[in-house]
Amino acid sequence: MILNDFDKITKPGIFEFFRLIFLIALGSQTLAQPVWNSSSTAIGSTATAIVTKPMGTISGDLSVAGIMIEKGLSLLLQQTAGHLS
Amino acid sequence: MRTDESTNVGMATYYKIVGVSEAAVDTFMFTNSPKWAIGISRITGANTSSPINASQDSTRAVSQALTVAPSITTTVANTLVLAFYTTITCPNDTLVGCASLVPPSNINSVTITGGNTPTVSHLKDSVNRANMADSSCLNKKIIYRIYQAVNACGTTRCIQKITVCDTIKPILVAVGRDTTVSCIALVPGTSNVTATDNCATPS
Repeated sequence: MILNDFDKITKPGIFEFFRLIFLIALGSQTLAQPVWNSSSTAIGSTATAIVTKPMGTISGDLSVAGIMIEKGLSLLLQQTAGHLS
Repeated sequence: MRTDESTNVGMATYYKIVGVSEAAVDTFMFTNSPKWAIGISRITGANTSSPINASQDSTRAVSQALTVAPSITTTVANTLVLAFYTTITCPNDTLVGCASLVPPSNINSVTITGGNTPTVSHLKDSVNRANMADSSCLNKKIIYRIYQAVNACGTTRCIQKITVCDTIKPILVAVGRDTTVSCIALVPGTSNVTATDNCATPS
């Protein structure tokens, strides 16, 4: 699945010089199959980023956050809302 | 997982199993104030003890109209594959007070790295005056500045939006004080009153 929301929050017309892609395979339990349910997005240019949890999020759900930043290398995340890398 | 394309753009992915009584929002903090975009996906039915089976990342530092995602190998059946991707954008959109302040095009505002370096050029400025009736400012127009990059793989373009919006009224200078004169012949003239403006000489 490609999260096209990221296309919508960038300006129309994009230089594709620097493309980053992550693929993540999510493991399934014995009987259940992992299912994507909903998503939320946010953009900004502040040191603190606040993102509303996806609609319907409940205890036991898997939350996967993709964080795109400009610039690279020099930037570190100090707080990740309990998410692991 | 974290990867960077030099100092141009970076991307990181994080995951967690949502706990009980969590806040309605997730807060992330950076060491400085970069431009950022964050997307969070909610997945149900994942293995809560080992939710991530495999991951892979890739970067490209050259212009490509089509990018092939990296391959990924899983060790269990019925996995769900998520993809996150990002690209770098044009120079920042700009708002200026009058046409004379529109910055000149600058191909150096686009940082390019990598061995297969494309040739960047300013293709054209396309002016849109559709919103000139907007009463919020005078002389409003929108310039869509198009940059183009060409290399052996093809051509890509991006658009920088420059909005011209004059919100500053002219300023009158040397307006005389209120005064009382004894006869009509002593009424002072108005020839010394002038005005200034941030964009042009007012009439």
